[in-house]
Amino acid sequence: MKKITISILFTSALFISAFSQTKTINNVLRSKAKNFSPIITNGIVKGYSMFYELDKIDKKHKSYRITFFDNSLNEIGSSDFIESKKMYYVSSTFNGKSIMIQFYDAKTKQVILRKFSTSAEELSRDTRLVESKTELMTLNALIRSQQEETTPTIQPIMNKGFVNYGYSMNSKYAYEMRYLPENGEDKKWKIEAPSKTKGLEMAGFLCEADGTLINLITKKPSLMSKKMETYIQAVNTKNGNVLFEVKTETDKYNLMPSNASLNTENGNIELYGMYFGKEDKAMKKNSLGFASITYNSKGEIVSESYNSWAGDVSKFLPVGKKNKVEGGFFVYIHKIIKDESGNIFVVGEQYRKSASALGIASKMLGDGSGSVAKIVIEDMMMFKMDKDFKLVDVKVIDKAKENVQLEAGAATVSTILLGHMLKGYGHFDYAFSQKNSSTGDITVLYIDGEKKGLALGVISMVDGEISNTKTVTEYGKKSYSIKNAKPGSILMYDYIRKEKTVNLRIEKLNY
Amino acid sequence: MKNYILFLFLIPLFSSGQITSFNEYSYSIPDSAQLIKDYKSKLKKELDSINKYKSDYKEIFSYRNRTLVNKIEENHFIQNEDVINYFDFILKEICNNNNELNYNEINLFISRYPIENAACYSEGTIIFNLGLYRKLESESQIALILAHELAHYYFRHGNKSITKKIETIRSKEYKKEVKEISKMEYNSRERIISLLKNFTYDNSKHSREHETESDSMGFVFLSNTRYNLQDAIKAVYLLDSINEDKYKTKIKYDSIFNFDSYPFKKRWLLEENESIFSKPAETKITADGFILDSLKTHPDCINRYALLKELVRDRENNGTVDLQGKSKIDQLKNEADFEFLYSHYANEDFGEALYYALNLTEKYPENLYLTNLIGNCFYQFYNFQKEHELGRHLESVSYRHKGSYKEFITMINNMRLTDYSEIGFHYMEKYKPLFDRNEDFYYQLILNSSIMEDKTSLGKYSEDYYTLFPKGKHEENIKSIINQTNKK
Repeated sequence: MKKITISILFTSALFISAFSQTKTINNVLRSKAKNFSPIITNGIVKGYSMFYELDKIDKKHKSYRITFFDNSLNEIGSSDFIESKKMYYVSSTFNGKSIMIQFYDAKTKQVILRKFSTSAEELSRDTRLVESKTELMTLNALIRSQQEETTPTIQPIMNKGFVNYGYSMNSKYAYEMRYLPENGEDKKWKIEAPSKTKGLEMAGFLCEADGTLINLITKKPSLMSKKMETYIQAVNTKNGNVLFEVKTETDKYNLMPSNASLNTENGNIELYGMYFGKEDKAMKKNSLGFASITYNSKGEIVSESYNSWAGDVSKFLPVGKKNKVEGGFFVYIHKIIKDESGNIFVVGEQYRKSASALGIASKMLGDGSGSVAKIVIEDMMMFKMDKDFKLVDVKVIDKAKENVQLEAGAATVSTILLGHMLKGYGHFDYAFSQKNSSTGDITVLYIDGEKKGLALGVISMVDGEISNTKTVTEYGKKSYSIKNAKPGSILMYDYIRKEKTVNLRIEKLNY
Repeated sequence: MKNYILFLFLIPLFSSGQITSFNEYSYSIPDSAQLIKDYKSKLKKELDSINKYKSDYKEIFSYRNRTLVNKIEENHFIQNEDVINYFDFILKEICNNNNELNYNEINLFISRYPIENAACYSEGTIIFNLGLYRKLESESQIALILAHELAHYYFRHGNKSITKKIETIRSKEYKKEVKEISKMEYNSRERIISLLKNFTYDNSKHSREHETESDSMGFVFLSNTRYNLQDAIKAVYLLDSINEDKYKTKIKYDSIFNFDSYPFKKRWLLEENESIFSKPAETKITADGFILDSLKTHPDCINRYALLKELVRDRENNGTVDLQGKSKIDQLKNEADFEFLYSHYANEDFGEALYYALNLTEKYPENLYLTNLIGNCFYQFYNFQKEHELGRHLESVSYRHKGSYKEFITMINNMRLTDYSEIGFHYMEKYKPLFDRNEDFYYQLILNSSIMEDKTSLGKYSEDYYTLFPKGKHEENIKSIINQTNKK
C-alpha cells in the first residue's frame, strides 16, 4: 500500500528522456532485452518496438502494450491489447506501409500476427495454429535468441504485404507460406510444399522485388538424413503462382545459398553462398569456397563465378595468415552485402575444432560424460568481390580467441553443421551488419570480450575500402545488451535491477 | 577530462560588441555554511509548527530542504555583484511598496540554469534562472515575473498543495481505495490509473488556479511599484515562445568548417531518412487515457496575457520600463549569453554549448573565449565518442527540432571520430595568427593537436608553448599529454 501512496505523491513519468537518443524507463519489474527490438527491413533499422505486460485480466489472460519509438528513441505511440497469459514476442518488420509484429501464444499454440500503422494504430490481427514440432522449434529459437540478426518467419513484400513462413497443417515437415496483402482488395494466397515427402521441406525468404518473391527451399529425404538439397523458387506475389523452382547446382558444383538479390532491370536473380563438390554432402564436407550463380527470370543459369579457399583466397592472404585457409580452419559466412558501387562484401568468421583438455581428461578417467572436442572461434574475415563476384581483396581482422566447449555427442557432428550450431547458440562474435543508403557506408559489428571490458569491433567499408577499428570500453561484457540501430550506430540497453530501470542510449560506432 | 577548461573563463573578449571584458561569474556563496545552517533552522521551525501528519510533512519538507542545500553546495547560484544587486533592487522595489511582503523572509537566488523558468519554494526561496532573464526585454518584465513568484509565496501555494496532497492520501476514502486495489489479483491497473487520474487532475487544476491567482496578485504588487505595467505584462506574452532561439542567425556551417586541408563534407548535412516514423500522431490523450489539457499546471500563456491586458487596460502608463537604466540590463543580458554557454558546458551538454557558441560568433566575431570553447567542444566530442559515451552529451535529431538547430544537430551527428579531431584542430589553427600570444589559446590548440592521428603538430606547438610561455601555467599538463601520447 505504501508503494502506491508514495509513487502517487511523487508522480513520475514512465519514460524520462534527458535527450532524444537516451531514454530511461522506470518501474521495470522484469526486463527481457529481446522485447525491446529494432524493426528491421532489408537489413536496415527503421525504428523500435517495445512489448510488455500491463496487467493480469483473469486466470487466462493478460493485457499487453506495444510502444513504438523512432530511430532516435522518440516515443511515437502505443497500442494495448488482451491476449493469453503466455504470449511471446517473436519478430517485427515493416513493408513500407505498415508494421507487422509476430507473436507466439504458447497456451493456444498459435502464431498471432498483429499489423500496425506508423501511428501505432492497430490495423488487423491474424492467427494460425502451429502443429509442426519443427515450426515450434524454429519459433522457440527465435523467441530465445539473443542475436540481433536472425531470419524471421515474417517477411515484407515492399508496399504490398507480408509473407509468413511456417509448416503445413497437413504435413508437419512440409513448408507452407501465406501471403497477407496490405489492402483487402489484393488476393491472399498460400503455397504448400507440393511433394508428399516423408522427409523435410523448408522454405525461407531470400529476396523480393517488383512482384517476384525468391525463396530458398531446402529438402531432406528423411529427418535424420545428412543429405540435403537446395532450390530457389520464384513466386509471383500477385497471385501466388510458382514461376519456377530449380536446384541450386551447376555441372560441377552445388551451391548452398545464403543471400540473393533481384536485378530489377533485367529480372535476373543473383544467388550467393558457399559451394561444394557435386558429390560432396553439404552437411559433411567443408565447402570449396564461395560462389555466385545468376539465374534469369525463367530459372536458367546465365553466369557463375567461383572463389576457392585454397586457390583464390589464399593468394590474398599474407604469409603468416595462409594457414587460415589451410590449417583446418572453417569460415562461417554471416552476411553478403552489396554496396552502391556494385562491390560485394562477404563477412565471415573463423572457427575450428581442437581437442579439449578437460574433455579428454574426463574421458580418460572413465567419466564418459565429457565431450572430446572443443571449437575455437578466431578471427573475422572480410572478402571483397567486384561486381562480377571476382575476389579482389581479403582482410583478416585479428580478435581474441574464444573457446567453446561442446556438448556430449556434438563432436561427431560435421564442422559445417557445427558452424550452424555455433550460430544458433550465439557463440560467434559477429553481431550485425548495417548499410547506410545515403552515404553507402557499410559497417559490421563484432563484440569481443577483453580483460578490461567489452570490446566493440567495427569493420567498415567506406568508398570500397575495408578498415577496422576496435574500442575497448570499460563496460563489463554482460553489462549491456548491444542492439542494432540506425546505420553507423548501436543501441545500448542496460537494465539496472536495483533501481528497476532500463537505460537506453544510441551511440555512434567508431570508424 | 573533467578538469576541462576553467581557464576559459578568465579570458577577456576582443570584440567591438557591447562587452569589452568578461570574467566568468563566481558561483561559490561566501558564507554558505551559515546559509545552510539557516535553512536547517527554518526547516526545524516549520516542522515544529505542524501537528498533524508530521512524518509526511517531514519527508517532503526535508526533501525540499535537501534539494536547496545541494544547490547551494554545488554552486548553482550566481554570486556576481552586479547581478545580485540588480535583482535585489527589483525585490526591494516590490517588497517595500507592498506591506503584505517582508523582504527579510525572501531568499532570492539567480541560478545558472539555462531553462527559461523561475520558481518559488514556499518556505521563501525564489530561484530565477539565467535562461529566463537573458530572454526578457526589460527590468519591468523581470519585475513582473518576480512579483508573480512573490505572490505564490504570499499565498503559500506550495505548502497548500503539499497539504492538499497529504490530506488526500491520508483520507479514509483514498486509503480504502488503495487497500482494495492491493487485494485485487486482476485488473488492478485500471483502478490504479483511475485513482492516479483523479489525484493528478485535481492537483493540476489547483495548480492552474494558483497560477491565475498569482498572475493577478503579482500584477497588484507590481502596480504599487514604479515599473511600467504595459511593458511588464509582455513577459507573459513572451513566455509563449520562450523556447525559441534568442538569436535567429543563419549559421553557414559549410563556410565555418571548411578548411583547405580538410574541406567541408556535404554528407554531414544529409538528413537521416531511414526511420519509418516521422513524429507522434497528434493526440490529446496519453496511452493510459490521461487528457493532456487536464494535466497542464499552467494556463496557456495567451489566456494569461489576455487576463493581464484586461487588468492593465484602464491604468495609466507612466511607469518606468528600466528603473536601473537600459544599459544595465543590456549588459547583464549580454553577459548572461556567455554564462548560458558555460552552463551548458558545465552540464556537459557539449552539443548545445557548441551551437550557442556558434550563434554568438555572429555577434562577436574573432572572439577568443568562443574560439577556445568551440575548439574544446570538438575535443570533448572526440574523447567521448571514442569511449562510446557521446550519446550522453549530444542530442540526436528529433522531430521536435527545427531550422538552424536541426541542421546543426544533423551535421554533428553525421560526423565521424576523425572529423571531430580534424575540425577542432583546423578551426584552432585558423585563429592562431590572431590569438597566438595567448597562453590559454595555445593550450587549447595543443589539446586539439593531441587527438590528431599525426602527432607532428602536437610536438611543434608544445615546443612553441615552452618558448613563448616559459614556466607557463599549462606546462605540467602539456608534459603529461605528451607522455601519454608517447606511451600509446
